[in-house]
Amino acid sequence: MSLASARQLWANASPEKRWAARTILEGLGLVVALVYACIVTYPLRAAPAPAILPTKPERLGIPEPKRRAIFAELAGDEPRARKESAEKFPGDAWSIEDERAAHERDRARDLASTRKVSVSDVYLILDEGIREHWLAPNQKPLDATVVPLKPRFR
Amino acid sequence: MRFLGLRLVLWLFVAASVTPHLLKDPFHVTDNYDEHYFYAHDDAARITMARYHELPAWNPYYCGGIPLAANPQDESLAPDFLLRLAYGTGPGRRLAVLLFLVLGMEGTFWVAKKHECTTLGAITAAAIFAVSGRFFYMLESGWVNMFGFELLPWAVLGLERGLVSWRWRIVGGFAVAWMILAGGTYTAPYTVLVLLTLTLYDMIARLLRPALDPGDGIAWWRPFVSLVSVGVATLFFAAAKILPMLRVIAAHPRITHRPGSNEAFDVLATLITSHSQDQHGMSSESYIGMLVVALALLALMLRDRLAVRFMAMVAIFFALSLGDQGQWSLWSFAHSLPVYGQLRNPERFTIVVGFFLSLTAARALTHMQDWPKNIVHSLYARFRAFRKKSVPESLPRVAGMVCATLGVLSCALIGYLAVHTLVMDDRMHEALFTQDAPLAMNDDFHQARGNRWDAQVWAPASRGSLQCFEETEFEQSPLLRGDLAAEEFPLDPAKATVSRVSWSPSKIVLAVHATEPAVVVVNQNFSPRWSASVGDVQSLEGELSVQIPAGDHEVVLKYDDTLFDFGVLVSLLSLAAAIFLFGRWAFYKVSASSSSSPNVAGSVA
Repeated sequence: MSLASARQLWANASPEKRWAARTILEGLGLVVALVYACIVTYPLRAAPAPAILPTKPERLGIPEPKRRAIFAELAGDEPRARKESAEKFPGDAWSIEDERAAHERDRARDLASTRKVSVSDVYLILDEGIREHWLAPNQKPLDATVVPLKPRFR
Repeated sequence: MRFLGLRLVLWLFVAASVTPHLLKDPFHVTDNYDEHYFYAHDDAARITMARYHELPAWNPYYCGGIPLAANPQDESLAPDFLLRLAYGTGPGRRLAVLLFLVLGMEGTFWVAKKHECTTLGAITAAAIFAVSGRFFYMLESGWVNMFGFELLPWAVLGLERGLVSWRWRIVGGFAVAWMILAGGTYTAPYTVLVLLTLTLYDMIARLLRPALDPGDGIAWWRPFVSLVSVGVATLFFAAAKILPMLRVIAAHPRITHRPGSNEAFDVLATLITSHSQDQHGMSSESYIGMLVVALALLALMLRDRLAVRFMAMVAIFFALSLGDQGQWSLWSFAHSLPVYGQLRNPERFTIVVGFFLSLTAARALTHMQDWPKNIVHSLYARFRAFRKKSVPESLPRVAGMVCATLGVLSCALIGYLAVHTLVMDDRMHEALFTQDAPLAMNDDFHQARGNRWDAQVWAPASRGSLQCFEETEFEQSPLLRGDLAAEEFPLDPAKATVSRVSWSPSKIVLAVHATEPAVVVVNQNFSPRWSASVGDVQSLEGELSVQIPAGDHEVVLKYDDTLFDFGVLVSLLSLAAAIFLFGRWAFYKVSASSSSSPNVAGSVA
């Protein structure tokens, strides 16, 4: 069928038929778009969620000596982090706390990398150590409280 | 508008091409702490809704407990949040970005077509706006809430088409409401400013400048009616967020410093400097490309009436993006308005500048598409006149077709180059989501000392992070601890014993045995919206506690925000009403179009 005859056919068709043809074509277009959207987003929709961390028999699936070692490394850094933060934000208690947390983040990521565990593991080990009052290398438990929210204006 | 399916395929293709990393490792996060903040809040809301089947009213996973949906930056009531509920927080956030990009392109296409741009010009404008540098910067920072700016064209359409159609006013209201529901602390106020400016321009143009009057016969005051209607629709759709949020921002204004100012050349540099050319690390944030700016200026030089309107908006919002330039500057005026005084970062207005620049560029392309035909026709006419022959009104058919094809191809090439410079900017192809996925742990909830810099870690592991940052200065009790054996405990252990029966973010059930009147403390912040089935809820230095009489009790502590519940009801009823109205309209339209056939009409007759 030539283009001209197709045009003629379209021109001679009743408005009802034209409407139906347009609707079908638009519908087909939407189906194609839907299929394409499914294909494009498949890697997002089908990706398996990360495994849930175990609590038993071994907490986080990491032996206690290793957990204690990770805690010791993190806790050992804290006095220095607090001192440096206090020098950076003298007299601003919340900012000192926040800066200490930023130091802790850097250390946690280093440890996750060197100890071949996840960042979540490192933080949950820190949480366990604080909760169980494990002693830091300076033979003191870590402070379990934070300075209440008081963000600085810059 | 026809060929919706084809356009959606094109938009998806563009969106997937410009953000290839978006489609990989959906549970990983970027290195940016803002991404961690928003991920954490999204996860808290998802857990509240999906695991505990509660409305996201209270967030015990952050700061020791703060309002959730009432937090201005919270995204949990937005329509795109359904994707987080369906596919998980990480994949849902990525899918939401794709959805916003597609909506942004389709909306810009509609706006451009409404302003008499060719299909090619409209496609170019759509792609340029939706993939401009500012959106990529948002993606890097994890600001999915800021992707609400992709709904800006729908808000503009609502206003403009709302001049003659109530349905479009509802669409405009829904777009602005979506921005608010999506935590649009900037998107919604900026969009309102755009709508207000367009309304003023259109009213003044119709009243004072006949040359700028579109000549559509619409009364000068109609834009104002359309604006108010869009505003009312917005209030109804977003009531669930607006009502509790107003209470929060009235009690705790957002923390902001003086907004600062920008040099005009710096703002221009953010628009025309690509990341690969950027020597300073920040000046490519709103990259839209030199070619787009040149096309926009060309449209202005062609004295295009619509381009003049768009460029007036470019000028106004460029001036706003300069920030505080003294008491007579536009920013200072805007900053004196309610809500706007709590905003900073004026350079974010460049996204509005980018929107109108892309539309103006589309106007230039629309003119350019006719250039080959006009030039050849002019030469042909001169040649015929030289030969002393009659001058035809149009070119011979084949020559006309060749010229039209040439016009389309040259504009397609220019449009492609304009988009290509954005797509090929090197940072589009850098790996973004490089940090570990936060891991879930099925454990009883308890507060941890936490760390806001990696805020995404805590909620999936059933922990709350006491260390936190919020731009809204919520009260946080100094008594909260991250090392308690139990999160609910008697203040004086000699007077009572407490055990947890069940726990969810907004409802805690406790078994209390009190030998005499006792105080039971919950390791969360106090809020007046907590209530108890037994005894009186009170604040213990900002910590949640209940005064319990002697005896054995099952104490049910509930977080009940009546304003939030009422807002949710209003929003849902508004949505249902809109669906009903649109459904009825669509039904009548289909019935009318199928019965308007002459054959059917004849047979009825």
